[in-house]
Amino acid sequence: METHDCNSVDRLREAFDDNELDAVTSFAVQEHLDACPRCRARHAWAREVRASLARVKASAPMATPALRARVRRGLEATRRRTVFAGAGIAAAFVVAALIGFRMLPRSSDDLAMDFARNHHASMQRTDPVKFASTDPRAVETWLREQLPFALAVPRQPPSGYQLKGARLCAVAGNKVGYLLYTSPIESPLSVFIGRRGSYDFHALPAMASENDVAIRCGKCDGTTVAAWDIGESTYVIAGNMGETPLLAFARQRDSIP
Amino acid sequence: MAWFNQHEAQLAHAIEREVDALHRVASRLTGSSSAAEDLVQETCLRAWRARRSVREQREFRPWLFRILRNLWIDELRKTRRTPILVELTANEDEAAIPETPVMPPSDIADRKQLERWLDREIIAALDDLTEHERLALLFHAFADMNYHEIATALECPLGTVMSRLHRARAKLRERLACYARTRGIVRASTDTSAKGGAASHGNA
Repeated sequence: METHDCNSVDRLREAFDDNELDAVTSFAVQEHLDACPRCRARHAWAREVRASLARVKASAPMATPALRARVRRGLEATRRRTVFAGAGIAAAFVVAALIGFRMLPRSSDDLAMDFARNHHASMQRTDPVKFASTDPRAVETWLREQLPFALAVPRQPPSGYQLKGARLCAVAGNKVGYLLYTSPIESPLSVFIGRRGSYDFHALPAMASENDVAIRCGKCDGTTVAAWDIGESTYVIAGNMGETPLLAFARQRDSIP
Repeated sequence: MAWFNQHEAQLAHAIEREVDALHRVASRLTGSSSAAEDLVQETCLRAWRARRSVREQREFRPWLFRILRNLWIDELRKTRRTPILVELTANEDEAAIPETPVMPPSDIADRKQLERWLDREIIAALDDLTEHERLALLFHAFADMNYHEIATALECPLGTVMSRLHRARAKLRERLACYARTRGIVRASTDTSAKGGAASHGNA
């Protein structure tokens, strides 16, 4: 195996820390670092730089809601102009009236309606869950085996409800995990877990925002639909429950591993 | 055919998902909250208008950050008289960063205090990098881009990305180590072999 001197290790160390080296070179760099105190000291400082950059990144201000709104408004305005470009406005109106809504992405209201309908359809099914379990960990494991993203099942059910199990379903063209919660006195609740970014609920009013969790809420067909993001997942709850238990359920991010 | 010709509906969502990363980089480039917000907004709008130039989905992020870079350079050109983004010659590219031998940071007792000092110093040190180095480092550290994506975003070879990252980090590392030594946070190294620098150190 090729050995490396301090100069070459100095050049390769960044790529080594970035996991951009092949296995053989990476091993050779590690071997040199193990044997050379001088390179090890420099490497330790290089890691300080890396750690410091990570801390500076983590403490960098997030985009403000105002900026997000500016970007969204700008994109929507440009998209509208794009839809109408190249055709007479009157003709475009006709086209839009006939088929336009099919060309545009689904609005937040449409999405909320999709989830509400899926909730009602689930209530009609004889087998609303495919994997029956009251253990959130077991349900989480089952869902993770089925879906290509790292989701988490809340450890605490909504107050007064019990987890019954899960199945997979598709909402607005995306594969999501479905959780069913039942209560002896209340109507059932459906919770959908999708990949974050698959759905845009920004147009729904924000009911609450705490610790970066903005809960957006709407009502469709008499069913409340609330959505929020945690980690890599978007959570959508459909059913009729009061604001206080809904918020308590959505805010339990500490129990989401 | 351009990827986004077939997936236009996904573009707006894809752009919105990058707003935080764009904002992190823009804030550090401009040093001003309002200028960063203007830069991010303009980047997003330009991206939408130029969406047909994205041929494949995997090109999207580098392409988006290239727009950010170009807009930032345009802005710099408006406000600066001095030349910017001077390409490094091969010799400069290979030039060694002077090394200040100090003890490794693991020997430092007050870890939290050290981190506070270092973070403050890193922020200042970022501004002292060349534009090339700063862009490569910010794209990597603040936008989580890999070498290939950075090369695409900066329109330069992969090896150049590695050189720029290496030099940027070497400068930061040297500045942190020097700062720690001059402030008495760590002692100068007693390892005499380090004083000769990398060239005189023996092979492993």
